[in-house]
Amino acid sequence: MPCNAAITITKAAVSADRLAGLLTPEVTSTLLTAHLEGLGLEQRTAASFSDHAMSQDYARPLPFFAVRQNQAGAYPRQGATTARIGGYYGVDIIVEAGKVRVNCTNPAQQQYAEQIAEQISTLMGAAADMLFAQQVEATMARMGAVERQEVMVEDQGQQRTATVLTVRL
Amino acid sequence: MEIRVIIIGGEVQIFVDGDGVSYEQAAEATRELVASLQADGLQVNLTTGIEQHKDGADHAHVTRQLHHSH
Repeated sequence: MPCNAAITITKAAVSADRLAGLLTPEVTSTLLTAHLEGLGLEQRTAASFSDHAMSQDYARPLPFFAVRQNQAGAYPRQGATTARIGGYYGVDIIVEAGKVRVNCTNPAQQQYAEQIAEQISTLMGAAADMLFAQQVEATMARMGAVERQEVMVEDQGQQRTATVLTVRL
Repeated sequence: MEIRVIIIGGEVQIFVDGDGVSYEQAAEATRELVASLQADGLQVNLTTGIEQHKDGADHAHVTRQLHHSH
């Protein structure tokens, strides 16, 4: 990039914790639900957490899930969101402030659970980035009409998505 | 005046440019944007100063180490 690209260039950043804070329990639930439905799993009510049906395939839980909010811990921690896949003998995907961990009732399901967890972790990171960009855009919109572009840039040897917001005064 | 903001993850780069825009005006616009973001609860903090990269038709080159990383 030529260094006469602008009159002033300034860098700023928001902390990783602050980015993760954009992933509220409501947002997390919505993302979890959409992702698991996208995998072909059937959404059921929280009552399915207690469903004692057993999968014929030990390595995979039954193909349904439910999402619920855990009781929140002490302020300022957000309550964790749990997606239970496959009922009582299934897999828990637990998400709190964008961090994902798994809990399996059957060790044979660990690989399946970790695969899902990795997908969700990537999803949460991308969602936090998108939410942050949306909030910056909303702030800039008070200055004037904002033009938005999504572009790919090389950042430390990796291709990453960048949001470019432009306002002309 | 054109304000362009590039966002990669939680990192933000703010470019201010425009014909007839002085460094002082560009710097003030940058400060106002950052203040607005902070007022909106975004907790964005500067990681560099407001670097001057050109001033009118002449290119003012900033000799700070950080300049080379943009």
